[in-house]
Amino acid sequence: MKTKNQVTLIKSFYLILIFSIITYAFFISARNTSKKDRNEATKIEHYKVAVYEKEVQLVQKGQKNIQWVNKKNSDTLNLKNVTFVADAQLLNKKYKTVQTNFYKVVVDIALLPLFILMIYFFATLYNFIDSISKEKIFEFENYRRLKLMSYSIIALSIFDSIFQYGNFYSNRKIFANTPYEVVNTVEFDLISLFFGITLLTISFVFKKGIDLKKEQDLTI
Amino acid sequence: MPIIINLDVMLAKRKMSLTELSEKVGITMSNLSILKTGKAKAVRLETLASICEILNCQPGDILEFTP
Repeated sequence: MKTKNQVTLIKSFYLILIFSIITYAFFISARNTSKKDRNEATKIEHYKVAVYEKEVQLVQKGQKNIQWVNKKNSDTLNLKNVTFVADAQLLNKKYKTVQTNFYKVVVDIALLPLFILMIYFFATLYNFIDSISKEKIFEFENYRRLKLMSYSIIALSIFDSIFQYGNFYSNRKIFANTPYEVVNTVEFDLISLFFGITLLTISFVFKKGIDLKKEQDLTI
Repeated sequence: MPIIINLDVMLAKRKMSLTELSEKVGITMSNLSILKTGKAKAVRLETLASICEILNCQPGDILEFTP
């Protein structure tokens, strides 16, 4: 296949991918909104009941010593002088508005570097493909672009994971911060991290390719 | 690099210009210039044979090793 056709193919794939991502995000958003509306309409809080069943039952006002017993292996967990502000429903009624406003600002600020990194990644990718279409493949500038793309995608993955954890942390209820719940609930962006490291490896191979090309050019 | 290219000396001895040599050998002027200035990383045996044939000399006349 000729380079021009390859570039056209790659561009088409990227366009299809971007279109699919936007469509998918739109449907996910629509589904979540619909679910939220349905839950609010029926006054059923599935999430709270499913994950925090035990906490909802135990939560009381004031200080208390609590002992939890694991039913499978009879391990005990003692919590002394735990202060409960209110029960979960009361907490939501009292503090939800304040928390939402505060965390909304935090989430907005956290989204900004993600957005900038994504824009930077796509701009660099565009320049890279553009350079390939001009038959300038093994150039030092392309090696730099690949390296920066890999760094940006690794940073994107790390930022996204921090954002996801922050989002989970801000939305957590009382005692909802055990490692099991973090792993089970937070979606760490490991695929992007894997992709970034792979891209970094390719960039190092690309560097070797540039050296070989230089040597080939200087062979008479 | 300890290898010196004495192409310009041989060209002067044979009273031949670089353009003429490039036309006869079939190498571009830029490549021949790279060879003459010593920037070349490697020389193909085929190219060396052509240059020797045109200049009527031995490879040792063009290449010199100075430690």
